[in-house]
Amino acid sequence: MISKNHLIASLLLTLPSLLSAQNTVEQDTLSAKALEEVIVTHKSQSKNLTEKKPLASVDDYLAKQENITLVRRGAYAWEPMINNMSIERTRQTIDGMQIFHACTDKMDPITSYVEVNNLDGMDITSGSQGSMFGATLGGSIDLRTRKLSFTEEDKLTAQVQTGFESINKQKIVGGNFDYTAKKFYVSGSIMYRDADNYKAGGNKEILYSQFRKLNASGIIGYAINNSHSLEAAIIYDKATDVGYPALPMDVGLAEAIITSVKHTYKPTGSWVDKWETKLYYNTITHRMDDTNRPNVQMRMDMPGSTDTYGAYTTLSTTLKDSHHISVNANTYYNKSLAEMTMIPNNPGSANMFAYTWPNIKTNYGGLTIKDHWQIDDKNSVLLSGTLGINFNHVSEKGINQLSIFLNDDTFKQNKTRTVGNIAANYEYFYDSWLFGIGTGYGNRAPSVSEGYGYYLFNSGDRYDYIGNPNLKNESSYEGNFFVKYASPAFSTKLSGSVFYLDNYIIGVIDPIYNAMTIGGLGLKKYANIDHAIQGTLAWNFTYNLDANWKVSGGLTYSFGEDSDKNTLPFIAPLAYSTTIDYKYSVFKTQLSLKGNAVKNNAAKAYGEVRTPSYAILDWNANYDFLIKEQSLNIGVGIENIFDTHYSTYADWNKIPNPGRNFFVNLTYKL
Amino acid sequence: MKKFIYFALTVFALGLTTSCTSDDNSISNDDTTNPTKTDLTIKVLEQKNDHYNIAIYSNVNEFYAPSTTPIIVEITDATDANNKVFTDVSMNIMMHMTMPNGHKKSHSAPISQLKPIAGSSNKFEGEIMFSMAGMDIEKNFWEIEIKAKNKDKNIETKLPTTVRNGQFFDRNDINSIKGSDRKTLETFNIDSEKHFAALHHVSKFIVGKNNIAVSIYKREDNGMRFPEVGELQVSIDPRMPDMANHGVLDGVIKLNYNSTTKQYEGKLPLSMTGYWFLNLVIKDQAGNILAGQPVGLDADGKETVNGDKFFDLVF
Repeated sequence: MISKNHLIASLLLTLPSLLSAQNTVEQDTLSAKALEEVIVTHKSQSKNLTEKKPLASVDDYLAKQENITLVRRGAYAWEPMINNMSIERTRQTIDGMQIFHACTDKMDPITSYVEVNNLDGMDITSGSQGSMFGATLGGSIDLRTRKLSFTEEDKLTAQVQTGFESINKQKIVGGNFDYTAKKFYVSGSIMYRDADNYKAGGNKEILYSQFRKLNASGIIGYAINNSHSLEAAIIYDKATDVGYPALPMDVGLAEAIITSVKHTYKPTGSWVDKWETKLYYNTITHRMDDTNRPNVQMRMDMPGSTDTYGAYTTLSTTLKDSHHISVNANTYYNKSLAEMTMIPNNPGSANMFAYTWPNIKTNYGGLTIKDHWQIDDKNSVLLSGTLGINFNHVSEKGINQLSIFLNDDTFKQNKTRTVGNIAANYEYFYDSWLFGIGTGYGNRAPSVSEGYGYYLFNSGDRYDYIGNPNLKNESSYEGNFFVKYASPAFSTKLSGSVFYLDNYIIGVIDPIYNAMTIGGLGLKKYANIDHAIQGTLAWNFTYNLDANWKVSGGLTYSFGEDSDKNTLPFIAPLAYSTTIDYKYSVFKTQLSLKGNAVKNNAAKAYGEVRTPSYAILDWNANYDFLIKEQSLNIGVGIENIFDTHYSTYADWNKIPNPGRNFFVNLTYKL
Repeated sequence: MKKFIYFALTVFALGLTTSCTSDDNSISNDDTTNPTKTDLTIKVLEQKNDHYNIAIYSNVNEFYAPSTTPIIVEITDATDANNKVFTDVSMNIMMHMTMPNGHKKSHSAPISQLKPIAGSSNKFEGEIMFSMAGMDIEKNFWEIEIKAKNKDKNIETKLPTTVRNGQFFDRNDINSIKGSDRKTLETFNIDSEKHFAALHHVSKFIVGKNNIAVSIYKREDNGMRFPEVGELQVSIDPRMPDMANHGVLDGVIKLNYNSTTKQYEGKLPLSMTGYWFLNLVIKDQAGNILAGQPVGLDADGKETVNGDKFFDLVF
C-alpha cells in the first residue's frame, strides 16, 4: 500500500518537470478557458440556470449536467452523484460553504436547500481536481449563489415569476430583485412551490409524492473602498409535507438557515488578484416520520439536525504571468445528531429509542493549493493539492451503542484522520484539437453514517446499517483523458475517467446480528472491502447546421465493480441523449430525446434488480415579449410527450417517473 | 431604501441569533420512553427501635412476588445525627403463613446479603428474592430481620411487610406489557427440587452492553437454605416483542459462572430503549434443557414464539 502511494506521489511530482522540459518556446496566449473545459465539466455563466424552462427545479437542472446522475426517491430532493459516486465520495458545497444534510436516509441533499432564482450557476468538477473545499474522490459540486457587483449608477432590476406544471398541479410563484449602487448592493429572492402527487405514465397517481417548498434569500454588500468590500448573505429554506413514495417515511419539515459574512480584497496593481474570506454558519432541521402512512406496523419518528460553523480564505494570484495560483485555507466544525423513536401500536408499551447519529462532532482543517500553469500557448498544466485533518468526536452514548456491534472495544471517542488530494492535468492544444490527460489521488474520511450510523434502514436492500468508527480511509487513484475537436460548425469530445478505489467503504452483511426493522433482512456493517473500480466514458457532439438550427447529443457509458466482481450500486447503464434546437430572434424551441439502455448488470449483491430500457421525448419553447422597458418571458413545454411509464436504475425502489407533463413558466422582468 | 436595508439586516441578525440558540447538549433522552424506576429512593418500610430508626428503601412502592427486590437499609440515631457508624449489619428474611387449619409455617427466601454502600457507614444494600405473595400482615406475611452493631450495642429489628402478587407480561398477549411488573425471579425444578433464577438488580441500563448477573439458588431444608448452584448453562436471548420480537445478536448470550461471586455473569446488549424480554434457557452441563425454551418459529417462520421462562426490563 505504502509503495503504491509512493509510486503515485513520485509520478505526480515528476510530471510537471517532464512537461516543462518538453516545452521551451511559445507565448502565453491561450486563455484558461480551454482548461476549464475538462476540469470543470460545467461552469454556468447565465443568470438563468435553465433558460428553456426557467422555473425548473435545481434537481432538473442538475440532471442535465455532464457527469451528474441523480437518485430519485420522490418528486423532491434528488440526490446528486458525480461520476456515479454519492455524497460520501464527493464534495457538495454552496459558495464554498460546507453544509451537511440532516437526514440519515439522504432525503435532503444540500442541493435541496436552494432555489433556481437564488443561484447563478454551479461549478461541477470531476475527480480529485474538485478538492478546493476539501478532500473528494468523485468530484465536487459548488453551487454559486447570485453574485452582484457595485455599479457607478444606481440600478434596480427585478422580476416576478410564476409557473404551473400539470403532472402534479405544481404552482410556482416567486420573485427577486437586485439593487446595485456605487458602494452598496442588496438583493433578495423568494420562491414558493406547492405540488400535489404526480401521476406516472398511464395516469397512475403516485401516492406520497407531494411537496411544498418556500425559499428566500438576501444579500447585502458594502464597498469599504475600491479594493475592500463586505457581503452578508442568508438563505432560508423550508420544505413541508414532503412525500417520498419510494421510502416508508415522509418528511414533515426540512428547514435550513444558511448564513455567511464575506470580505473581499480585490486590489489593483498588487500581486494579489483577489483575496476572499468568509465566515459562515448553517443549521438544518429535518423531521422524518410516517404519520401520514396508513397501516404502519410501527410508528417511527426520526428527526435529525446538523449545525456547521466554518470559515475559509482564498487567495488568488498570478506569478510570472503564467502561474495562476489559488491558495485556500478551510476549516469547519459540524455537529450531526439524529434519533429514532419507535412507537408500538399496542397501547401502553414503552417507546423504543436510540440515536441514529449519536451526536458526532467533526472538525476539519485543510489547505488547498492550485496552480494553473500556462506553459505556452499550446501546453498547460493544472496542479492541485489538498491536505486536511479530519477529527471526529462521538458522544459516550454513541460509544455504548456501537460497542454492541464492534467485536472489539478498541474504538475511542476521538478519531483523527489525515485526508487529502493531489491531482495533475495536462492539456495540449493543436490546430482545432485539444488533448488532455490527468491523474489524481484522493483520500477521504468515512462519513458520519459510515463511521457512526446506528440502525440506518436502507429500504433499497432492506438492511439495517451500522457504522464502524474503525474504518480505514478510502482512497482513489484516478486517471482521466479527453480529446476534443472544435470548429465553428462542429465540435465533439470524447472523455473518460477511471477510479481505483482502495479500501472501498460499503455495507457488508454481518450474519451474527438480528434484523431490527420490521420487514428487514438483516444487518450490514460498514466495512472496507479490498477495492472497487469505477469509470465512465462519454462522447458528445454539437453541430450547428446554420444560424438557426443546432443538433447535439451524447452517449455515456459507466461501469463499477467491487473486488469480488459484483456490480456496484447506482452505476448508470448506457445513457444517451439527442437534442434539436431551433432559434429565431428571441424565439427558441427544442426537441430532445433521452434514454437509457437496459441495465442487466444490476448490483444484485447490493439489492438492485434489472432495469428495462426507456426513452422519452421532451419539447419546449421560449419567447420574450418586449413591453417597453420591460419584458415577459414565456416558457412552455411538454415533458414525456408519449406518457411513457418508466423507471430508471436511479429511481429508488423503482418508483415510476412522471408521465406527460405540460408546463408553463412566466417571468416578468420589471 | 434605507428602511429596506434595516429590515434586511434585522432578518439576517435574526437568522444568526435564532440559529445560535440551538441546544448544543441535546443528547439527553426525552420523555418519550417510560422507564422503570431504577433508583432505590422509595421508602417502603420504616421502624423505630429504641432511639434508632430503620428505614428500607426500594424502587417499588409495594413489594411484589416473585421478584428480585433491591433494597437499601438506612439506620439512623434519632438522638444523635452524627452517630452514623453501624457495623456487622445483616438481614434475614422469613415468610410466616397460617394454614387454614391453624398450623403455622415459616420459610425463608434467597437474599443478597447487605453490604455497606460505598462512602457510607449507615446505608446498606442488598436484595430479597420474594418467592411468593402474602397479603395478610397477621397471617400471611414476610418479615425482614435486620441486625446491626452500634458502639458495641446490638440492634435487632423485625420489619413485617405484605407482598402482593406481581402482574407480569403474558407472552401470548402483547398488550399485557402495559402496566406490568418487571420479572426478575423465575422458578423451576431440577429433579423435583425447587430452584430459583434471580436477575440481580442493575442500577442503570444503557443502550449498549450491560453487565448482568444471574444467580441460581436451590431450595434446601424446607426452604430455610438457598445455596447457589454452579455447573449449569444459563443463557439469555434479548427480544423486543413490541417490534416483531427482534433481537440483537443472532443467537443467545451465554452467561459464565464466576466461582468467586457464585453468579452467572455476562454482557447483555440492548440496542435501544424500550421493553426487553430476556428469554431464559437453563441447561445442564450435558446441554439438556432444564428450564425454558429457545425462541421458536411461528407459522410464518419468524422468531416470535418466546419461551415460558424469562426476565424483562424497561428503560
